[in-house]
Amino acid sequence: MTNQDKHSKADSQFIYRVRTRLKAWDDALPADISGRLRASRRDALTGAGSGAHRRSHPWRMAGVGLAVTAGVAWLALGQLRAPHNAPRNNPIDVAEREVLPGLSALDADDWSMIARGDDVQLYEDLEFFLWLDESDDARS
Amino acid sequence: MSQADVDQQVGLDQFLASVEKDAFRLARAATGDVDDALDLVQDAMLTLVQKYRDKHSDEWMPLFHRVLQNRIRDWYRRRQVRRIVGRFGAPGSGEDESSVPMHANQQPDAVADGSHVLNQLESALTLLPLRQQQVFLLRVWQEMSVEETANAMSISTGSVKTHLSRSLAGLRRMLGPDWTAT
Repeated sequence: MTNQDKHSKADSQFIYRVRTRLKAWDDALPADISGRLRASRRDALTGAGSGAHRRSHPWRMAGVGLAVTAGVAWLALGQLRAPHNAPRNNPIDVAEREVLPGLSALDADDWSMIARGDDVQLYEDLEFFLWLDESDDARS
Repeated sequence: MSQADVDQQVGLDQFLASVEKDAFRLARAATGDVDDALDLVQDAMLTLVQKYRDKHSDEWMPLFHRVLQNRIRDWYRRRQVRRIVGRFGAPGSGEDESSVPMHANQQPDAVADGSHVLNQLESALTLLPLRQQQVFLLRVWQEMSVEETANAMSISTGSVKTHLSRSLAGLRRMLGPDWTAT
């Protein structure tokens, strides 16, 4: 028997043991958790999505509020500063064309991170690290 | 509501009922928090119902797991951002979900002291990096194929094999000889 065979056999036995243990997960879940899962399912099916269990995140609401206010103010400023017959390549127009579509794709958490002054560059870096890692994985 | 709509609603209800506990376990293992896990599961349920309800029911399972894994990964990234920004206020060292233990503040000794075998196993799972942990659970516990796991996690089949191999090595090391004895 080669070393690889031994490893493979040991892994199989280990996996069998672990799988057997994890089957115990199937048996019991606390009643309150089961109830909250049922409520989540009901909400999802009725499209409510409010969630009986969902915790409120005040920072989310504050972040969204700030972001909406900032967005409205920015658009209003753009309208005031841009004459109707202004050339379409001025900074405001360019921003409206190229920045606003991206902003509209942000979700509540993204807005809240911006509003709270989190390091957005870092978030972008993490995206890059993920891409880099996946590229490495793909090559390996 | 037509009869077809009613049938679809019933089918979705039965499908979600069949996966909700496993989904909660997966999310709970990833987050270490009951409320966060329930939030992730509900988000995944909502997305499935809102975006994919019209797909054939055979497609619901892979779609649901893919959505859930995306939610888990988003949760993890946001947690990492908050943790790093909060701790250092500057970009970090390039850690990602492939290499960072989920609960790095825990010590392996805490695992070894666990009296109940399932608790011991759960504790060890929480110490694995996110991708290793989720690959392990999808492959070993959910018994998904390599391809199904890769699809759910949006990674290559090669990555699935690598993460599974590393997770096995990590778990065997943490759980000790009682679990690995032949």
